[in-house]
Amino acid sequence: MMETTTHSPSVYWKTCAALMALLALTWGFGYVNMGPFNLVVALAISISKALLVALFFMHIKGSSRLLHLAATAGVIWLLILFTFTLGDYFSRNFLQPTSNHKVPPEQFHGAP
Amino acid sequence: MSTAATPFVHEQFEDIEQQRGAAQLGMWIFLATEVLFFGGLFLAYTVYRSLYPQTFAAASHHTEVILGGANTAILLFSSTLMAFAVRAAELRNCKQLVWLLLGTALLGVVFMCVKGFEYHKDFVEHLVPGSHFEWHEANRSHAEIFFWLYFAMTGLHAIHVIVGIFVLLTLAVLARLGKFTAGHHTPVEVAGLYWHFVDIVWIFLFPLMYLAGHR
Repeated sequence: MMETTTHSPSVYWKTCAALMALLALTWGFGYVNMGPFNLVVALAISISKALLVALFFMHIKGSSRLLHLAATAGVIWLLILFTFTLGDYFSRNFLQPTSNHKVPPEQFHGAP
Repeated sequence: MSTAATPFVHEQFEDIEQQRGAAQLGMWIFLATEVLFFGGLFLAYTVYRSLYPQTFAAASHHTEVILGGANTAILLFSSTLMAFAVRAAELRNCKQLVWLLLGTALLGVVFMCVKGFEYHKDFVEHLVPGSHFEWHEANRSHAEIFFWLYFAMTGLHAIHVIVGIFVLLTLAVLARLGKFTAGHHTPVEVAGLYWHFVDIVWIFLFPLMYLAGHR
């Protein structure tokens, strides 16, 4: 038997079955009203599916540390992009002057 | 495993394993740039959805969830075939490799046909942003933002699928000529990484575009 870096067929079929099951789960939950948790559940399922594809189809499982680093680098920079941008958007209201203590706009924006 | 006189090794590499490692690392770095390429659009989606959640949910109801879900299954299955193609290449099974590459490409074509049908439907229903955009519910401009993101994100993804189909067809021709079953199958392997990445992007697009807000 030749030495292989790919997995056995049963691993691929199981991964495929798991992906299809998770797709059915996302689809099903799409018809249930869970308020904000709809998004949380959908994203959790999507992340699980992405991990399955990366680990077994893209052979992250069993590949070198160098490839692990390259694969996670993209995700880490994506998290930085999201953290700083959303940090900006969601903190904009923090500095809004309250109604009983009005600051003129020019002073609020740091104008002299 | 490899001998010094392997004909597939370029002169800058010590052996075939080093060359293969360099190709894989290169593809993973490219995919990291792709993560950030799509990431910018996902970020825009996140910001606008958090600002206008109700309108995004209402606009999402105008997408075709059956077609989107079917397309997800098609891409997931094509990824499975691609994984088997890489295995066939490694096991030097030429005939199986050609058929698996053609099968993967065919599912890509089916995906694009379904997407094209959807785009046509969206166009007829005046959901394309611009002067012909029609919206009979509240917050027209916010719904227009949703559809702008819908077309930008699924469109960019579609371009990647089309590129992938051409790559797969080229590989199928070369595989038919026996190029990848004589001890050098790295091109099939890195093309597989690309195809799986395109699949992962759709895995996130499906719930965000078709299931924003419950049905």
